[in-house]
Amino acid sequence: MTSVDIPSAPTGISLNPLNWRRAWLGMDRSEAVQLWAQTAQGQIILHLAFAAILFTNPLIRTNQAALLGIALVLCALFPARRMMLLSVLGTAYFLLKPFKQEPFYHHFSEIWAGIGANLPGTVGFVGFGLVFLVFAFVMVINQTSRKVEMIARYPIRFLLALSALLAVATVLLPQSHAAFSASWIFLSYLTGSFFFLGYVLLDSRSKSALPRHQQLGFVRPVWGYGHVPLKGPAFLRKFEAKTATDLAVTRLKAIKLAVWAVILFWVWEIAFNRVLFGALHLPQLDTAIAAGAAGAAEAPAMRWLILAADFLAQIIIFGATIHIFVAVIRMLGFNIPRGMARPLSSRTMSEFWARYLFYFKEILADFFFYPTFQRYFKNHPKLRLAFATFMAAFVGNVLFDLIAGSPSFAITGFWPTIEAFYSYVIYAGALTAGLIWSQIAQKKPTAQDGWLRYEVIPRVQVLVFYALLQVFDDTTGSVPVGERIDFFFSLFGAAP
Amino acid sequence: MISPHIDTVRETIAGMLVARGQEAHFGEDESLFDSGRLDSIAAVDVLMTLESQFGIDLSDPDFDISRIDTLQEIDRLLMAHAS
Repeated sequence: MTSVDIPSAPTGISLNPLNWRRAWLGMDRSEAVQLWAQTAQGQIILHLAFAAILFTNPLIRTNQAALLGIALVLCALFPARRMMLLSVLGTAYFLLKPFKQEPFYHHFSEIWAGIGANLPGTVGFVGFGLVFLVFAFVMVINQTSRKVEMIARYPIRFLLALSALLAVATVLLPQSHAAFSASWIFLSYLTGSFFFLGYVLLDSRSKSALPRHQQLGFVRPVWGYGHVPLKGPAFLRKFEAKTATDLAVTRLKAIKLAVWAVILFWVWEIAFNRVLFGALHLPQLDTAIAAGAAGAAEAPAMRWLILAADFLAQIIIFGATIHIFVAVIRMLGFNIPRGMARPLSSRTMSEFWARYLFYFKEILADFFFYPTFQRYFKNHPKLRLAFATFMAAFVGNVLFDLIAGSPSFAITGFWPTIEAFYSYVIYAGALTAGLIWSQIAQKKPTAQDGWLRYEVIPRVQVLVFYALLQVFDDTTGSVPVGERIDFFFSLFGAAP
Repeated sequence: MISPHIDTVRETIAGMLVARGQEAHFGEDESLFDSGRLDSIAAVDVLMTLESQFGIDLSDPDFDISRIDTLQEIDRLLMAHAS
């Protein structure tokens, strides 16, 4: 469940702030507000308010906010052409900003300079980007024409094999070789768009698929700053506002969610960054782990406090980030579900996973869980579920970051890149074990179990489990895995 | 045209919604899984019901999970299987 259940708005004017809150949360259900939001004045005010939130939100870069602003204005002026406009803007965004990590831009600049071109790097981005879009277009065509049947049946496996092949080439070839440059550039384009393109390819089988050329605009949608696609264009179309009232409701929900994102951001900034980690000098988790390895001796209780603060801060800032992007998509006219919905209320590990990281969970389910579940161990229900969960929560989870980071093999070296994942492998392994246990063996608590066993204990268990996982949730390798293991055991009083 | 088995599926889904603390009522074209109303465990239960009770083969790589996102879509799947 990703929607928030909100009591209906009260009538009349009240001085009670709780009633204001209720009215604010229920405004998208108020007929009067819905009608106002459909007027020209209402639409202008809503868009101005949203733009103000967007441009003052530190989580969105100015360039990104400008692009989103253009998309919002165009979609507001030409709602019937929404998908086409987003496709054009998405293509432009992809051509100008193709990579996902800053070091890749530096490496590209070096290659571009080596090619001997005096032209600006943007020309290179556009040129190579167009080549990649041709490749993506051929893949899309093949999904329906099925000229190469194997690729049409297993498009994600093909992309994975191609990525692996290119990654091997970047490791084995000398960097002065022309084939290295070609392999690295294509690898960077492919891995930067891997799951976005994956969704486009899966969607091209859908009845609500966009015209082929428009699908290319979702290889990097205008809101696709992060690594995690919020599903594909067919998903968007399912939630697209069909009537003026739908659109008004969707926009009102966008405003509510954007305001909530702002609140969360400032809670994170003030309570955690400025007070807890600033004025009170509570170390952040990685700092504490490194300090522990260097000989600092905090009491286990202090380490638990550090872990709890880091875990809560992570949830809050991640919520602020995903909410603002979902709000943008809603403002554009798609009433998609929230990316995070009350994770702290979860009573089982699998419930937390779905509530905390809804769209990431969807990627792992769509690309790894369901395809495995559909095909393997069909006569052994528990093993079938466990294996599909393993493929999603472990294999898919690790691959997701490894794919995105594979151009680093040529920049920081193969083994240093792999070593940075050791900690994440522990994280994914523990997560997988927890999810399999949760799905197969964990008894779902009911109200009949009593207040303590229904409201308190299951939630505490879930939160402690995910907080402990936080120790290993890292793919940067900034702190060695051995130090993380020592810190983990020190939480239970076991000195390294 | 409505599949004669759709009521069984409807009851199964309504039971899942109630078990997750939601209203049993849902629209025929209402998104169940993409919207997050039901989780992937519920999707697994629906898939297993389709396999065990209606003999639908899910191992085809072209089978797309979004084809069971609404009751209407499940109905279409059952009708296509029956024909």
